[in-house]
Amino acid sequence: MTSQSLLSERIKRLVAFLASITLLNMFLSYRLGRTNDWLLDVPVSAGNWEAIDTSLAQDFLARLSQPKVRGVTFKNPLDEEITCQLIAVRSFESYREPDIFFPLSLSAQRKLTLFGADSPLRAWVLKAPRGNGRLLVYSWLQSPSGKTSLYGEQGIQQGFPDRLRLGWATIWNKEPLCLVRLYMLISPADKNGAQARRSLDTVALSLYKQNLGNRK
Amino acid sequence: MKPIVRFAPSLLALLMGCAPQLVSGGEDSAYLKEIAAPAQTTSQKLLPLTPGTFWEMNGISEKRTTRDKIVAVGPKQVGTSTGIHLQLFREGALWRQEVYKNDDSGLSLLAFGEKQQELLVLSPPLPLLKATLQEGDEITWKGSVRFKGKDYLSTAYTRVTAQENLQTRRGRFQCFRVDSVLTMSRPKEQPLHFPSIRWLSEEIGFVRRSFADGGKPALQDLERYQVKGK
Repeated sequence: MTSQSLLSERIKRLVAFLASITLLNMFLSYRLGRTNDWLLDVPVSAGNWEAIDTSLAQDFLARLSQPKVRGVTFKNPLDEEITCQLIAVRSFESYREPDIFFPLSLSAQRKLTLFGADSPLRAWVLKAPRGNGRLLVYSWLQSPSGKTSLYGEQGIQQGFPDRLRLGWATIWNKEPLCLVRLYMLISPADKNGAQARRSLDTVALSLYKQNLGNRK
Repeated sequence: MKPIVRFAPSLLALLMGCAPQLVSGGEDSAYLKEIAAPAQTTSQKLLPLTPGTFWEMNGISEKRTTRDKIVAVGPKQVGTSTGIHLQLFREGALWRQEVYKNDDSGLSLLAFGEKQQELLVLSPPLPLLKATLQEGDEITWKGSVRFKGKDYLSTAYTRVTAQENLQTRRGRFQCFRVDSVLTMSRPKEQPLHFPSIRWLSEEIGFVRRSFADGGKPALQDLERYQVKGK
């Protein structure tokens, strides 16, 4: 093979490579663009918890690649607070956890079937260093048809394979997905977090039911 | 074998959804256990109000320790309802007053106040506990508070938060913790909040009380008690 034909072969390969990258990019943009603006509706109140819109930190949103989000604080008359974050899953960056979680360590997790046997949510406990304080977190992915699924089983810091899998699943999902994250402090007097569980159950159920209108 | 070929099956499995399963457990797994059937009791067991019953409490307010005594002195008419009048003495002098009704419809607060004759009267009575109650119960109330001839629109919220095993100098008690807050609206002024926590033990009543004393947090712990009719 002459050096000219070798060069021509290499150029052809490069063009083919660039064309495939462009096509893949167009395909991903189309698939992800389809899902990037759907968020759950938030009820005005959930039981005795009143919903108050709260903005999310800009640097957190930057880390998520600026998806559509909504932050809500649910407050009850005893001034207890539940933080709610709704994130329209745009890419695998959307699954990153908020900064407040990083000094903490995952001390328990479990799948709950609060919404029904086929609609799981992930409940987890985060413990502060030296055991000073705990957060109870509920998180799940929900689609407009009311289907829920889990994410983040590997812990607080999503590894690359985990995020790749989640991102890939997002691309192939037929429906848009909203990531729901609810968390609250477990009061030191709240033995085994029973009250925190009741509180998060109330808000999670209310959010889930509020968004069953589009169930097919 | 090229690395891409070697890792292709695992990558494919990963992308096709063979996700890691959620591994349950962890050192704090007790926090995520199925919630056990909530403990139940009755309001009449939790706060016996037979006249003559008293509770001597060790009071802590602004780092000051006081000797407080709560005495169920007898029936008192408040509006159209009759309740049991509790007088709270601090270092022997009348300090606060509360009027409760505890019957088949549950425990309600009819009125409260300081040492003055005139009490803040709740209309309708503010329900604190259902007759048969359990952990997690919540009660909301809307009404008015009448004080010195004026009515103030008010709201209240009460929750039986949990059962707690409390250690006081008198001993260890299994209690129901009852969190409440009464919010009184005032025209052109910030609303007034009266938060309080009562820890009540069956057949004993008050074991611990936490409340705002002149806007400052105050605590009372059981030292000695006598329940009449037992």
